[in-house]
Amino acid sequence: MKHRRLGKSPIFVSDICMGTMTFGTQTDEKEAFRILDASLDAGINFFDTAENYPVPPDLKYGGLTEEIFGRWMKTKDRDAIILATKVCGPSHGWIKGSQRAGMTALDRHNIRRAVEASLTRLQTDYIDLYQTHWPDHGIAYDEVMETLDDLVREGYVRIVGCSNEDAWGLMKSIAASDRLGTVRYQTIQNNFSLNNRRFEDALSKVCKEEGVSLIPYSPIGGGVLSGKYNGGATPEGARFSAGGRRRWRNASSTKSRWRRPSVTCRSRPRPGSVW
Amino acid sequence: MQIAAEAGISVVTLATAWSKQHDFVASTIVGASKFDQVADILAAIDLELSPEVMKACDQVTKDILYPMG
Repeated sequence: MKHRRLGKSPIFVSDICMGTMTFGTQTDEKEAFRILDASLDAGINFFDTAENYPVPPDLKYGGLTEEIFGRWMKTKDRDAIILATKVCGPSHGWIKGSQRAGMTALDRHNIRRAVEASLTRLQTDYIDLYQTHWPDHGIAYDEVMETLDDLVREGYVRIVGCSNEDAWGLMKSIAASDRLGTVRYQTIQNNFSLNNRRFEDALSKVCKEEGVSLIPYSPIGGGVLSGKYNGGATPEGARFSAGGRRRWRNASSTKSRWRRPSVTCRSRPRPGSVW
Repeated sequence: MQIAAEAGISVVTLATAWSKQHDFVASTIVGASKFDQVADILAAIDLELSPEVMKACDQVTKDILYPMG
């Protein structure tokens, strides 16, 4: 297993990170523990969750994934685990977070409430990498970066990152951090796979020039690249099979997550939104 | 899938290894909803794709553009 540095931070992680977003809905706790045990045994020391999980996000069970992960982590050496989680972005019409009555936002109040609740569910007193799950481009980055800076100074969080961010937003955040003298985003967690190479355009340059690491999600396109949907197949229990697709669409978004696939797409479509 | 078959690995392993092989990537976030899916992911741990395989992947993504712009 190779290990790599996260941004310009002192933290090194295995170059594979185990995600958790199905734990609590598609995956029950027992199966989740088996997956996590096998990952740790194989040398994976980096795990990613979110207050918004499991998916599809729903106020009824939001936070369940962190609870499951917290119970698993209790059975391990906390020091041997690099734990990443996320605070929900703003709940506007496009996506609604599964916390705080669906009224999440990236202000000081919400970020503080979020980190406190996550620490409780995760049964730990610190988070290694704390990420903003999706950005709010309608506000300045100043309050976000200042609040994250406070969390690091107070020891709740070691380093911070962003997710589902674009090149403009990442540069604006770095400018705010540099101007204010706060912590800066060390990582960006975006969609990147053989099925979606958009990151290679502007963001990869920002990352290289500014020393920010991509920690890509959906490397197999949410299962699409496994080939299991080829030829229009709808395997049972799979995320994008017919029933699952309806369930996702109706989960918490006011708009359909689905767009008609282009004629050049040989696979089934995947959500264009943020996980 | 043909590229993976020719390299003697599963397409999940191929996609995971491909992702790791970019200089701006620190750690590839994988996921499994079932335990049986873990093995193909772990197979990518020490795998390095040859330049030929990377080139073949590039050709596919050139031929089949990302449909969502």
